[in-house]
Amino acid sequence: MARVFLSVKDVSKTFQVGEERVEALRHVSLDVAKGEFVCLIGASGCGKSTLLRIVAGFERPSSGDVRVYDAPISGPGSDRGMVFQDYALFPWMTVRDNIAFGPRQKGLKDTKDIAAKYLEMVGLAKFADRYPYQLSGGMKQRVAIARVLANEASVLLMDEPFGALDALTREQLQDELLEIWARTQVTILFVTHSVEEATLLSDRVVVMTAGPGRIESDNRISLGRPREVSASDFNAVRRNLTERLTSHVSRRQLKRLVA
Amino acid sequence: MIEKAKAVALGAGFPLALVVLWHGAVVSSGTKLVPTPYMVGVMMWDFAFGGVYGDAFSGTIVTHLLASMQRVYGGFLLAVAVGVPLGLAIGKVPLFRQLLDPTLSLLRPIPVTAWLPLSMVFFGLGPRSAIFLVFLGAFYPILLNTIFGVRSVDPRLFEAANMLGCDGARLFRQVVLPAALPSIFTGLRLGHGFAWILIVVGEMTGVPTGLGSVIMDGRTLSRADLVITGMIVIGVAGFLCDRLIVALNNWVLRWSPQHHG
Repeated sequence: MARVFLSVKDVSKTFQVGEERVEALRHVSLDVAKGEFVCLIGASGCGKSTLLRIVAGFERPSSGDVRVYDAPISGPGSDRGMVFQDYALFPWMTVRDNIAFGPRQKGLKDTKDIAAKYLEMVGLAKFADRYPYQLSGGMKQRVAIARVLANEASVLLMDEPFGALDALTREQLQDELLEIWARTQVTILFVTHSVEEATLLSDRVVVMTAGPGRIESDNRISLGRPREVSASDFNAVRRNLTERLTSHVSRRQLKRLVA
Repeated sequence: MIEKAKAVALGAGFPLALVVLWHGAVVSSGTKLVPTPYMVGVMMWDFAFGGVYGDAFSGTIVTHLLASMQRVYGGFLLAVAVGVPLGLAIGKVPLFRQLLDPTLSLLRPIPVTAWLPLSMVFFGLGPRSAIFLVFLGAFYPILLNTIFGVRSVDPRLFEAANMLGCDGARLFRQVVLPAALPSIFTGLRLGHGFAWILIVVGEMTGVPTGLGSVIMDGRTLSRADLVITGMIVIGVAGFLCDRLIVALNNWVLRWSPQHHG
């Protein structure tokens, strides 16, 4: 196994919601190797998004810590780029300026080439001068991905990034993401609640359960790439994962997951 | 095309109908207190170009208009210069909110006209008093809308900026300000409207020039045609300047068509 790159060590997180204390995560540990594609999957409330936000540095763990190459993280940083489900693009900036935002913060004056490179990578060169309101959901998410890549993030944190897209766009973006991943060798931590999406994309699928949130199982996906969702071995892996998920999930939640 | 012509016909036709009604009402009642639209038209011509009455007001429109605009924009720009940065700070920094919000909430309900006597004590009889009153009137809508704008920014945008390496003072200029711009412009438009409304009050403080002082003079001299002329000039100037602000709004907010005026 490769050298540990991203390490989540014994992380717990409790939130105070009014009078109530909610335990979002309990003693979660997870090691991710450089260049690995890891999916976090689980029902609503299992803490998968909270875990992602802690790795991003948006939330502080109540106990435990997160390290990148053994250096504890203390807040948001440009080495870890988040791709939000609702894009969070800067609406007053053109596509080009959104992508160049990170490099500009580092004091780079000429960001044209960087922007051009990543515009090309996500296939939006023709839309460089558009504003976000002029883009479709799929295009917005491409910009969001390009924005963190242009910032030279070594980890992509993706919080149900394709959840708001229609099925066709979703498939297309999954393919493009795999291509980008192969090309840039970026490490990806990807939250989803679709078993199929997790099986299609990742090297490892981490199944989480709710109440309190913790890791139920860590499953290596040994299918070759490219993967075919209709292949029988793909279906076997998917079925196995679904069973792991549902052993802790009620039938009603199951229906939602499968749908 | 036809739709547009219809809109123009309706929008312009209604005030025209009011003018006709005004004329009919004055003629049929035989009043001497209210002039006919024609008499106001003659006064307007004289105010603009002179050559009719040959009195102190003939051909003086530019002098009065410029004097008023200096006070309107002096007060307005001061309100922008104070209201926007203060609003950004109160909206984003809890310390500022805790420090200033109660005081501002206490001062806000006091009508601008109630400040008139004090402003004359502070600033004397003259244009500085007028500028102060215009400033007060324009300040609160600009401040409150800026605060609201900052507070309603999607927190994800701040997170996105943080993770891309933008924080502290840079965050204000690069994210907080632009994200709050739609609300700030709402405040600017409201404040700008109040500034024109308050110019008459501001120029009641005994300044010799300005559209407000023309109206006050007309009242003293019982010249309703002069009063109405002053009112019309303020209305038209305020309207045209509002169009300029709307044009600026639409250009600055070209990334958000839903906020176009």
